[in-house]
Amino acid sequence: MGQGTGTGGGSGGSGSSSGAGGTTTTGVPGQLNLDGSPQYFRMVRLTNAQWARAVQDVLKLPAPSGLEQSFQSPVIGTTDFSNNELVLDVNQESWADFEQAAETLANQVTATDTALAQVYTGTDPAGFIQTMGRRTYRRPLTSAEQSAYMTLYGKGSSLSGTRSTFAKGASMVLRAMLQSPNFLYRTEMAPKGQPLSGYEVAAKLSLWLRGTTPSDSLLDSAAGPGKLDTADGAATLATTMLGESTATSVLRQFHAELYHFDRYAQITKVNVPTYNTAMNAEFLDVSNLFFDDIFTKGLGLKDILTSTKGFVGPKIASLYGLTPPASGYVQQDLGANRLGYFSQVPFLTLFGFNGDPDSIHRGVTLNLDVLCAKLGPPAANLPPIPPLMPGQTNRQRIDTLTSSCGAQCHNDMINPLGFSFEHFDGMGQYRDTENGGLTIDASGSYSFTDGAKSFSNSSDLMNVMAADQQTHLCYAKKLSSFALQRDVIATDMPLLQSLAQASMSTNGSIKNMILQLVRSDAFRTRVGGN
Amino acid sequence: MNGKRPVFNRRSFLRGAGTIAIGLPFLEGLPERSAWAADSPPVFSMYIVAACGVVGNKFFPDTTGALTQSGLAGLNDKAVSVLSPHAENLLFIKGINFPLGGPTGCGHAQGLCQSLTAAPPAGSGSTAYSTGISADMVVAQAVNPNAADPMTLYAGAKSYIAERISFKAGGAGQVRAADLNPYTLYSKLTGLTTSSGGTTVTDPVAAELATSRRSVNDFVRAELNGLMSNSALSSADRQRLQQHFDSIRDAEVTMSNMAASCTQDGLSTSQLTALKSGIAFTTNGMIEDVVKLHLELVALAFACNYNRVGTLQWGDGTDGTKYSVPSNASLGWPFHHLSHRVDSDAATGMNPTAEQAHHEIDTLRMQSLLHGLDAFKARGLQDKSIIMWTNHVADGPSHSMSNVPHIIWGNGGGFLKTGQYIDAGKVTNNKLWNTLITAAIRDKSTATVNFGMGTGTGMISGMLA
Repeated sequence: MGQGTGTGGGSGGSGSSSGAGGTTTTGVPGQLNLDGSPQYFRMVRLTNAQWARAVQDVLKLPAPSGLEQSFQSPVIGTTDFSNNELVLDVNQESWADFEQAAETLANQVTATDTALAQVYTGTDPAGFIQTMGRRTYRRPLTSAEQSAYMTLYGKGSSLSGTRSTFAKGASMVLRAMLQSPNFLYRTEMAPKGQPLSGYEVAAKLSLWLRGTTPSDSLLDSAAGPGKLDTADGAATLATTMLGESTATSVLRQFHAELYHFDRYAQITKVNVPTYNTAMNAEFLDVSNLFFDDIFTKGLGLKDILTSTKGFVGPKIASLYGLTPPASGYVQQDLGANRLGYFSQVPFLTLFGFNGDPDSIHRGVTLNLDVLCAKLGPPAANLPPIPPLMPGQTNRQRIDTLTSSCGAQCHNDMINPLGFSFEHFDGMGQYRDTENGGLTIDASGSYSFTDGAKSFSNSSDLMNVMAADQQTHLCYAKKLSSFALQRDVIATDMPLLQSLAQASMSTNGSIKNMILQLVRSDAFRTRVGGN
Repeated sequence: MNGKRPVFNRRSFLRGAGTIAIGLPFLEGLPERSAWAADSPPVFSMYIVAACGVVGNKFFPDTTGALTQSGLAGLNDKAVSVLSPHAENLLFIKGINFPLGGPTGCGHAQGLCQSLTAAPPAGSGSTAYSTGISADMVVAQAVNPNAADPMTLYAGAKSYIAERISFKAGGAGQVRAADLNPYTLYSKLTGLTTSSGGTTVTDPVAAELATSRRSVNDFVRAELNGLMSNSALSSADRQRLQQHFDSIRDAEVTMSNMAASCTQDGLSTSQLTALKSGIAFTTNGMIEDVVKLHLELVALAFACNYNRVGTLQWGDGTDGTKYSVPSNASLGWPFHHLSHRVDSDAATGMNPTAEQAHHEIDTLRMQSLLHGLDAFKARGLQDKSIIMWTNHVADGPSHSMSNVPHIIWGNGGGFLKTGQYIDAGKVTNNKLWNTLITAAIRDKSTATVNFGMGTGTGMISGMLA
């Protein structure tokens, strides 16, 4: 068994759920999975990607160092996102990574006085420490810290070697700064319930939306109260950042992790003439372009679910019945039958069983990733999917196979959503009939948190979901988890409801959701923990 | 350890004595505790857990008894036949069960969680986690200077169930991350070795680097101490910073314990350096090469006394590797599906070609293990090592956690029997780990090891020399 998606799926979640349409005592709509164990760490280690961008900017490197590529990667699969506080720690392996990289970079930028001048134009130790300290600590150094670094500079400057005294001392200082916990962790030291300092907000926003440490100019603007420590100040800064290309990259990472784009590289098909492995890279590229487009144009979840515009490349255009571009990717209208990302070829091919639709995986994915439904693991000893018999539709085959499953798995949760895509085969190609002319039934009904809703096919389902609160609550949960770098749980419901409301509004956009999130106490103040 | 009789832990002792909060320099005047008598060499332990089971009737010999090179070489229909050159150093064991008799739901993660913990897992599906610490951590805390963490390695692409064998403790979030790219360990080891053998620590430049590194580390430790004294921090924050603090010291001690005879001879250096950038180590078809490289490097790490414990997870719990074995040519299925004998997640497939392909993969995996054992032997580790190979389920179709095959290479300093195929007698793997931990820590005066959970206590007598 695997993928958590086989037949004979387990029962739905337990605990506080009161079932579809209900509301628990914690205010969480039934079926919405808000399980988790947030620790509300005050010190969250930089991700490897953040570290890489940060050292490049701190040291003014002309190109990425690439050193992070050999760093230990966090455990994945146990949290929603790889930037979750629970999987970002410093152990012996990662410490050795940071230590070795710090030494390499410090030696590189202090190899000559000319190289060092690219980092800091002066030759005074105190000024160097003050400047580099503020960049690495993301706040001014205290006098005690300044003094301690001066002592360390003295030790470094007395080392042997042919470099100048200043270069040797600077090297030692940089090694320590790049290994300092004040650099390796983003900190939130504000009293519980109080706003984060301007410097902490600058770091939090910069590391999230720019993927790097705050610039010198941003640190300048962060000084003093009444600026970034206010909701307006934080939102103004976020608005600027959301217009930058780095934010697009960050949101690309968010959607890639949310919808498992890493799996595109692992697609394999057997005896499917229309498939070749070279398509895998194109699946990834067009998926990234789709979400880039949604974000940069100020669109939102409703558009993710209902837009008929998608990107095609030379290898997959024909699967849509479109003329392939000579090279590169072009945006096209994919037709009224294809509403949103989940009706596009990449998703449908990933969740296709060779040439046939993989109705079960499609249904499971929508339950878990789009609706945040409580879905138990698949049962042990799953039966195989039998061959499709003459006169039998795929839906009938899967229905027969899963008929013994209880209401909380296939019959009521997985199959209805998965069957809505029956018009798309395992390569995502649209079909009016199947198996020798049999009529396709893509209709179904699903119990959302606010009640059962029926649909006639996937396009209908996408419109239903785009207007449904559970869909928007789920996206709000995922976005919040990514932004706050922690599990999002039942006590976060007020935040999720406000974000869902923003998402469902007429002009609901991802950018507006982010701005609302940035304004929230959950983002700007010390929440949880001590 | 299940709280029954913890192995003595120097770091825990020092914490308990309140010495962790003293000012710098830290611990410099305290002698390093050795887990061995002065005249006993260290024992090195490598625990390997492969994915998706084996073809049971084509894996081990049909009967238990002595293992000989000629006898094993003649068993052409058995996957372990390829290990015949090492027959005299091998111990095959059948009759070992995991504490959880069978899967509840998807069993892949559950099997992984039990393989080194001897504890029934909690949760199910991809989110299953261990309820106890893993043996590699217990052994590392006992035998590594300053209780440094074990090396934790992984081969293959991460998919649905990635790292799930090494656990800091029981509970969600306690699983330890692994290094996927062999170049990572290579870069750390080769920074300390020369191509002709011997470490560079006696080099004046390297010595000065070590001194300056100490100064930086002292600086960072002071900062960590300052942060840990901040009353605003939660206990979870403090624990995290304490781990960071300990990691610095662990790295220092590891460096200072490098043996005098480290050589890069025998390393596939061109393959390793080719992995310096990019993600080639995760691409389909690379898994066996990555396994071989990992094992070469662990052998070097042991020979250099860089670390005395390691683990390797050999594939994702639902491994998607598309092996190019002859019988998979017509199928083209990922390994997970081959192990199920059906091209899906279903557990009851019966495709005979898939079963044959699985057997061929078993043989291929044993050839990779052979490559690693050759590397260990080339460094003279057969008499001071324990290399254990097992799987996270007994076989693919059933996900059975009974009669999970175990292979051990090396006599652990003369403690373990070799050259035998034995039947452990349907015991749970806590008894296996009692035996292996005892062999690894060689600190017999600390009384009986009572690890994990399961049926019965004590060691497996048939494993003892």
